[in-house]
Amino acid sequence: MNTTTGTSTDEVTRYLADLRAALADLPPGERDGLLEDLPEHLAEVAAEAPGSLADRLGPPAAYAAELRAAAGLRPGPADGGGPAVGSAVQRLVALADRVDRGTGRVIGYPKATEFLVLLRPAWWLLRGYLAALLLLRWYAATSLGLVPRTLPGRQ
Amino acid sequence: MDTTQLLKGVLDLAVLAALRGGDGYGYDILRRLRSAGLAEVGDASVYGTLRRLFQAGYLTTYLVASDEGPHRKYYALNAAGREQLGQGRKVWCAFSATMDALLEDSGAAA
Repeated sequence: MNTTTGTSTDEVTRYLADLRAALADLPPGERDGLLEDLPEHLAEVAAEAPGSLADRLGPPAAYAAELRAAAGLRPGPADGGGPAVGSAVQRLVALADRVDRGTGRVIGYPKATEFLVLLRPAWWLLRGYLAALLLLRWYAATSLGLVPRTLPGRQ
Repeated sequence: MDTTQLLKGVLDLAVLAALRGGDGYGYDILRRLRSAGLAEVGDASVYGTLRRLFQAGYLTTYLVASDEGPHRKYYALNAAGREQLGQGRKVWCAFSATMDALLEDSGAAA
C-alpha cells in the first residue's frame, strides 16, 4: 500500500486481530463475512488523517459490538449483559469494602461499619426524637389550622 | 433528542437510499450518508448493515481493482433491493406524516 506507512499497517493488523478476537464466538463464515471489507476500510481511515485507529473509531471491542448489532447478530460474551455487569458489581463491592476498612482504620476499628453498628442505640434514639418532632408539628398545624386566624395584611 | 437512537431504526433505509444514485464501496456509502447530514452514523453500523442487507438478498457485490491498493468490494441495489427501498419509503412517509401531525397538535395545545 503506497499511501500507508509501516506503523499504520501494523496498527491496522492489530486492530483487525482485536476485532477478530471480539467476534471469536461467531461461526467462521459469519465472522469472515462481517470483517471482509474492513482491511481496506481501516487502511483508508488510517491513511487519511493522523491519530490512532482506536482514537478515531473507538476501541475494537466497541466497534465489534456495533458491527454485530447492525448486522442483527446476538451480542458477544464480552458485550454488556451478564458477565460484564457482574464484574462491575464485584468491583463496586470490593471498592466499598476497601473504603469501609480504610475509614475504620482512621477511627480505630477494623471496619467503619463495625463502629456504626455500635452506634445502633443512638440511631434508635434519633429516630424516636424525629418521629416525636413530626407528630408535634402535625398536631400543632392541625389544631391551629382549625382556629380562624386574622393575620396582618389579610382581611 | 439522541439522533443515534432514531438512526438505528432507519439505517437500512438510509443505506438503500444512498445506493440508489449509484454503486459504491463501504466508505463511499458512509461518506454519502455523512454528507447527506447523518453526521453521527458510525462506520461499524454501516458495514454491519451492508452485511445484513446483502444476506437478505437486497444487494449484489462485485470487486473492482483500485489504484491505491487491494480490490474494493462494490455494492449495488438489485431488483429486490429497489423494491425494499420503495416499500420502506412508503412506510417512512406515513410514519413521518403521523409524527408531524402529532407534534403540530401538541405544539398548538401547549
